[in-house]
Amino acid sequence: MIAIVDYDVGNLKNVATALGDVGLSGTITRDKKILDAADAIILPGVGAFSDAMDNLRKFDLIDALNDNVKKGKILMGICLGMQLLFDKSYEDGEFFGLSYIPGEIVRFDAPGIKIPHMGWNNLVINRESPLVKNIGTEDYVYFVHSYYAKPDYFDDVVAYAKYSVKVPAIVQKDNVIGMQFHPEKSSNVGYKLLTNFKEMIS
Amino acid sequence: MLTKRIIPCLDVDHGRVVKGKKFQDIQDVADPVELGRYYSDQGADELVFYDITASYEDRDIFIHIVEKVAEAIRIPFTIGGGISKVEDFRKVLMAGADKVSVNSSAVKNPQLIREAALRFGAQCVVLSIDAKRNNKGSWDVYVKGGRENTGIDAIEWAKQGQDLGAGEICINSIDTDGVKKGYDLELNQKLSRLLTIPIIASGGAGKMEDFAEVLKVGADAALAASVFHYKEIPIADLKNYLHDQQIPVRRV
Repeated sequence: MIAIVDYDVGNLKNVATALGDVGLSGTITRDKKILDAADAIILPGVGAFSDAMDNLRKFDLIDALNDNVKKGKILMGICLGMQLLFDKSYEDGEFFGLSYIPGEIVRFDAPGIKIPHMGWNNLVINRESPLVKNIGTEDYVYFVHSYYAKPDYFDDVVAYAKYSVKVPAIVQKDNVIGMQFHPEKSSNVGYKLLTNFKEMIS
Repeated sequence: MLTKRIIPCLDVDHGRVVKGKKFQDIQDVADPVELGRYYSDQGADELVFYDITASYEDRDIFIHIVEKVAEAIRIPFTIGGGISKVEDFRKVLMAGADKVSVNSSAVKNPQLIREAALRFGAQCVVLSIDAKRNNKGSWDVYVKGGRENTGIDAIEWAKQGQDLGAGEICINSIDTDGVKKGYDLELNQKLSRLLTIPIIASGGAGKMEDFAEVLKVGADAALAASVFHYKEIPIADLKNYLHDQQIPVRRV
């Protein structure tokens, strides 16, 4: 069972549905006991960084996430959920994140580019990981975001997409994983990535 | 590299897909879920479903379709039509839609854009504009399915929409819609240069060259309906053609 953290940040059903495609059962929950019992935890999320952190605090979820990450359980953040894994974000201010991966979240600022970075972009593999098994540069995934991660160590980036800068698309530090794009909306490539995720946790 | 998007648009009335020609002369085409899945398999990058059902009572049927689409397909989709309150946004987003498009209701109440963007994020707010050329060399915003001229300048309105927090603009040219003689290139070019958010061109696709032209003048995505519904242009062929034209596209 995969716990999908429910902290009022949009529709989580699509993530659960896509997990079902690869034979994983997702439970949408904010119950600490279920997070503790889960084989892995997914932290989804859309919207603003500070609101999301406020909601994690409001529902008293941060300790539960910290405990499980410390125990070595796989935690995967998706989209805004990935950004929360970093130290801080400059989205409409300066806000602290969960600090599982060293780095910051900053806004795209290259002249002439459209913001949000919206649409299908291809993945460039930066380093080996079981997460990107059978994934190559012809594989496109669906992004929609205006801020991106700047990790302290680029080696924490498994794959990136090019959009004025190298945009970290898949990050991993030990048992903490992030996907900036939406695997649940990325058609066959999303399916492959979630299959790899399944193999990692089994 | 970020690719240009091809977006089939499905007008849904009483649970069935229809296509209007110049917003009239509607003909039944297919089941929205089946057609959505078909387009997704063919390589569509996103889908748009417009609820054109007039009556409020039929709204639940449509929400149910949104749920079924979300279960069936794994590409993003936008819902438009009948969205006039923040609560309407919430309903379709919770049913599984990725984005919500507003048109007349945003003209009437521009703050709807800001409120929805603050609550759900700019990424899910699409401002859809029906624009028609006037005799002053600019474009007017029309509402009520293209029947009523507001006198508002379309380019100004698009800019205002961006400032209010829209994540994307869908510009539908009434002059070219249903005529199949190509998109309004001038309008799309002007908007693409002016705005910093993505532009979806809509109205006028008749042949593959039309897509290439509008994407080359700066549109980030091209939306079409009948050329896809009547299988005049298979999406896979279109993607190959655009690729040959050096336009970055995702091919499946």
